Amino acid sequence: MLFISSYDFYALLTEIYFLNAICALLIYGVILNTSYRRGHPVIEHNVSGLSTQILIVSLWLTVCSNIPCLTSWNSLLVHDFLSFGIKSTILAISLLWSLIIFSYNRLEKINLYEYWIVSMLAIVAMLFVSCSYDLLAMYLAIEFQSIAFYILASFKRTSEFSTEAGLKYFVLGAFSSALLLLGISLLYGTTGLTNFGDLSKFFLGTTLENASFINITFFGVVLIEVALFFKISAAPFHMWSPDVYEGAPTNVTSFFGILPKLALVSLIFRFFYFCCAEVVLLLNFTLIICALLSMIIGTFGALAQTKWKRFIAYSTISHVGFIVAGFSTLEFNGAFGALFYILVYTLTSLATFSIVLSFRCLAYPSTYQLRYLTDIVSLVKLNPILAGSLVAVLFSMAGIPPFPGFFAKVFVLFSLLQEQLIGLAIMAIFLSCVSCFYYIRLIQMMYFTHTKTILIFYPIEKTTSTILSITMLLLVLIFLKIDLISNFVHCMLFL
Amino acid sequence: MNVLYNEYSAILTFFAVAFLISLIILILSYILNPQQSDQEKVSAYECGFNPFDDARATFDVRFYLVAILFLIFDLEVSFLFPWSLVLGQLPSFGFWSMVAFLAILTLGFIYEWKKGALEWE
Amino acid sequence: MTSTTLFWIFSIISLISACMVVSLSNAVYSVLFLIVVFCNTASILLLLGAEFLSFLFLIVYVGAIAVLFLFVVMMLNVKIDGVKINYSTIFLIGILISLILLIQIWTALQLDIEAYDNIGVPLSQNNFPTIISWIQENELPSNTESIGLILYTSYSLVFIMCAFILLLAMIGSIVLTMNQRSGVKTQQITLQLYRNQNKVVRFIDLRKN
Repeated sequence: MLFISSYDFYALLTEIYFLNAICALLIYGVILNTSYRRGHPVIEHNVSGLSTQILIVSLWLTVCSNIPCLTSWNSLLVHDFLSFGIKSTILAISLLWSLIIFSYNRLEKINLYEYWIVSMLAIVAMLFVSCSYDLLAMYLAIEFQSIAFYILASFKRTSEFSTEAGLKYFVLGAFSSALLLLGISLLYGTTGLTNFGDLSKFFLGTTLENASFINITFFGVVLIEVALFFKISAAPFHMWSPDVYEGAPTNVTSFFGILPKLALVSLIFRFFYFCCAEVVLLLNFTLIICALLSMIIGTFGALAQTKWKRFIAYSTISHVGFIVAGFSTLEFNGAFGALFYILVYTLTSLATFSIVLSFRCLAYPSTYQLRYLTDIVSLVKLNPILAGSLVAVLFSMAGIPPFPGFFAKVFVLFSLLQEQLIGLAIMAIFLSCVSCFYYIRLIQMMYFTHTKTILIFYPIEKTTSTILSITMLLLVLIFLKIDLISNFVHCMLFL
Repeated sequence: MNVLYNEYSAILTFFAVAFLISLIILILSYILNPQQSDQEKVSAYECGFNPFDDARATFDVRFYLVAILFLIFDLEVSFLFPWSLVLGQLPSFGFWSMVAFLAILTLGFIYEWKKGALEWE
Repeated sequence: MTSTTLFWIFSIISLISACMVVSLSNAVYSVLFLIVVFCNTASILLLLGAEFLSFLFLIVYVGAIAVLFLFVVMMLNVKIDGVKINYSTIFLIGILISLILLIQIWTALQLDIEAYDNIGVPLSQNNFPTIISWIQENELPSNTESIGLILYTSYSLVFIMCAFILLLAMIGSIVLTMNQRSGVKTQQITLQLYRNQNKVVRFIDLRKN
C-alpha cells in the first residue's frame, strides 16, 4: 500500500487503544445501566474507576513508545518530541484530574456515566490536537474537542446556569470555528497546500525585500490566529470564559481550566513557528496587542470579582497573556518561556482546582460547594493545611520565588527583554504586582480576618487530598531541581 | 463546458417554469380579488367555533431528538455515497476504513437502542 | 444563459435572502429564507461543477438542518411580534466593523477572477454550451469519484475522526435531551412467546389440609 504503513498504526497506538477502550466502556455502561433485571444501577463510580485505569494504561503506552521523528497518516500527523511530551503531560495531568473528580460526582449526585465517556473523548481529541500537522486534521481535532466541551458545559440539565453556559460557549465557539474554517479555506484556496511542512516551504522568503506577497493568504493566517486565540481565551476574544467557567458545574470547570490550553498552546507553537514562520513576522504587532490586552483585562477583571470560578477565569486570562507575550517574541527563547509557563500553569491550576473542589460546606442534610470568595474567612482555624496549600498556590500564581510561577514569569520576561520588547516587559511586571494584591487579599481573608460565624467545612476526600499533596510537593520543592521541567521543555522544542 | 451543464439545464428550465407559473397564479389572485377583510375572515379556522388555544403549542423535545438522530444517520449515508461509486477502484484498505466507520456508528446505534431513544414512549 | 448570468442571479438572490434572514422579526419567515439561501448556494456549487457537495447541501442542510431550525423555532413558541431591538446604539459600530472587513477583503482580492473563466470559448455566438470535451468526460473522475478516491485511503484518519465526532454527537444529544423513564410497562415479547398453555391455569384446592 502506498499511503499507509504499519508505522502509522504504531504511532497512534495510544489513541487506538484509548478509542477502543472508550467504545468498550460505552457498551459496558449502556448494557448495565439499562438492564431491567439489575434494577437500572447507577454505575458512575464504576465507570470513573475504569476510566482512570484506561488513562493509566494509555499513559504507560505513550511513555514507553519509541519516537522516530516522522509524520504519519499521509502527513496529517507528526510525531516528534514535542507531541510526545505534550501527550504524556496531558495523560498524566488528566489521570490526576480524574482522581479529584471521584468524590465530587458522588456528592453532587451526577449519576450519568456518560460524563466520563465524553471527558475521555475530549482527552483523545486533545491528543489529536497536539500532534496534528495539517490544516484539515487541526480543524477536525479542534472541532472534536470543542463539541465534547459544549456537551460537558451544559451537563447539568436541571440548572439554568449550566445550560446558559453551554449555549454561550456553543454559539461563540461555533462562530470562532467558522472563522477558523474561513481562514483555512483562504489559505488553501490561494496556496493549494494544507500540510504545515508544505506551507512552511511555501512561505520561505516572504519577508525578503522584493518578494511578492499574496494579501489574502495573510488575511487567512490572521483569521486562523483569531480563532486559535479564541480557543485559549486570550483577549480580546476572552468574553466566553468567565461566563462559561462560572455556569458549568465545578468538575467541568476544572476540566476546562486544566487541560485544553496545553494542547492548544502546542498547536499554536507549531502553527506560528513552523507553518507560518515568515508570515507571523508581519503579525508581530497583533501578538503584542493580544498579550497586553490579556494581561490588562485579566488583572483588572480579577480585581473586581467576588466569586471563585469567575476569579479563576480572569486570572487564567492574565496567565494566557504571559504565554502570548512569550510567543510574541517570535524567537525560540520566547517559545521556551511560553511552554514552560503553560506547564507550570497546568500544575498550578491542578492544585487550585483540587483546593476549590474541597471547599464544601455542610448545610444539613446536604453539602454545597462554596461560591463566593469571602466564604473562606478564617480558613486557617478550620483546616490549616488547606489554607497553607492555598497560600503556596497563590504565591506561585503571583510569581513569588521560590515557587515555579516565579521561574515561569522570569523566563518569559527575559525573552521579552532580549527581543527589545521593553514596554511589554514593564507592563507585565506592573500588572503582576497588581495581581499580587488580589492574591494576597485572599491570604489575608484566610489568616487575619476574624468573623463571628464560620461555616462548617466538610472534610476533604482521600483521593482529593492525595492529589493535593502530590501537587503541593511539586510546587514547593521543584525549585531545587527546576531543570527537570526546563530540560523537558528544551527537549520538546529542539528535538 | 462539460456535459454537466447540458444535463442540469433541463432542471433549471423546469424550476424557472414552475416558479413563473406559481408567481403568475399568486399575482393574478392578488390583483383580481376584492380585498375586503374584516376580523371574522382573517381569524384562524377551527371547525366553526372560537379557537381554544394558539396553534403554536410547545413541542415535546422527543421530536428534536429524533431529528438529530436522523441527521447523524443521514451524514453516515452521505459518506456511503462516494464510497459505493469508487469501491471497484479502491484498494482493500479503503473497504476496511469504511467498515471501521460503520462499526463505530453501529456502537452508537447500540447505545441509542439500549437507552430507549428510538422508542416513543 | 451563460454561467456568469446564472451566477449573478443565484448570488443576488442568496444575498438578499441572507439579509432577510437576519432582519425579519417573524422567526419562521427567517428560516424559510435560510432555506432559499441554502438552495441558491447549492446551485452556485453546481455551476462550479461540484455536484456531490451541491446535493450534500440539499440533503443535509435543507433536509435535516433547516428542519432542526424549524423545530427549535416552533419549540420556543416565539410570537409574531418578536423582540424589538434598538438599532441606533450599535448602528455606528456595526457599520465600522463591516467597512473594515469589506476593505480588508477588497484589498486582499487583487486577483483577476474573470481571467479563469471562458477557457473553452464556444464557437457559436448564441452562448449555448456547444463544446463538450469528451476526453475529459471519459478519463477524469467526476467530483464524487474524486472525493471517494482519496477520502477513504489517504485521508482515512480524518474520516475516522468524523466517525468519532458523529458518535460524540449521538451521545451528547441523548445525554442532553432524553428523559429516561424506568417505570414504563412495555410488552415482554420473549415472555409472551414462551407462554406454556397448559401451565397457565391451575386448580388450587384451598380446603385441603
